[in-house]
Amino acid sequence: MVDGRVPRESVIELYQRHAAGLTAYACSRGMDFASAQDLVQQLFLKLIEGRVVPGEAPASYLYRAVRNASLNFRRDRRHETELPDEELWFTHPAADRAEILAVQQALAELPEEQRDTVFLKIWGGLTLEEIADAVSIPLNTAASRYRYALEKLRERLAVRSAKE
Amino acid sequence: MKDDEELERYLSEFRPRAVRPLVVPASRARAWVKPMAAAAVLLVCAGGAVWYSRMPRADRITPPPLVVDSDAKSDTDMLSWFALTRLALEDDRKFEMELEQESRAELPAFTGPDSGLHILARE
Repeated sequence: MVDGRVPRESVIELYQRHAAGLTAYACSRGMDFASAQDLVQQLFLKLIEGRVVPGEAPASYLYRAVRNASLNFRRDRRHETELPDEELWFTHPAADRAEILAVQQALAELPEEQRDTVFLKIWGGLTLEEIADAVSIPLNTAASRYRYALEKLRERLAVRSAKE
Repeated sequence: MKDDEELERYLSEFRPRAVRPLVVPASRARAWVKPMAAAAVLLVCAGGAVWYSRMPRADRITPPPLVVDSDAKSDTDMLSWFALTRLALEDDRKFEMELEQESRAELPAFTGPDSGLHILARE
């Protein structure tokens, strides 16, 4: 990094590694897939142009940037009609559409801060320390949010399995 | 799903949907090229305009103003006309002589060896 700017090749590498997760994360925060994808592209283009500098922990920075951008997105479109929540932002080699939607639904029903923690840990590949940094919370808070989130997810997914 | 690890494993089997590759437009990759090109064009245009405005041009050379001593000439004319009119009224013969002298001075000579009339006569 020169003057904190990430080399072009590193940005492309970061994109290949995190873009899908970041897009799904934006979707989990209420964005449609196309808008989420555009948002992530714009973020990486800014990185390439050196208009934003990620610092020492690029992944944490990226998720924080997407989090803020999705907040702005929702704020700007709060008066618009919400899109039907049927869009898939996950894939699974064996699960059908209904199961994927069920997992998405279970995630969407979590309190926002718990959903963020689960997302960053499982699909962002961030450690709890990095999550704490990305969301600007103490490490213990991040750990407890993650634990509560898993409990709720287990309950919701078990209820769904029982119904089937 | 009895424990957290099992749940984590289950959840991680769901992969985020693939996204399109990062598209870096050429103009974005070299964002400085356009402003630099625009600045260069402006500089060349400004330089050209300055050079053009300072360049001496044939069609711009204005001839020195024609100084016509109109007052003096008109005075002379006035005098000669006045004098001739007076002469014509007072002394008809002298007026005729004066006219003859004026015509010889003003009109082309036909009596000289190289006069137009002589040349025509020779031919």
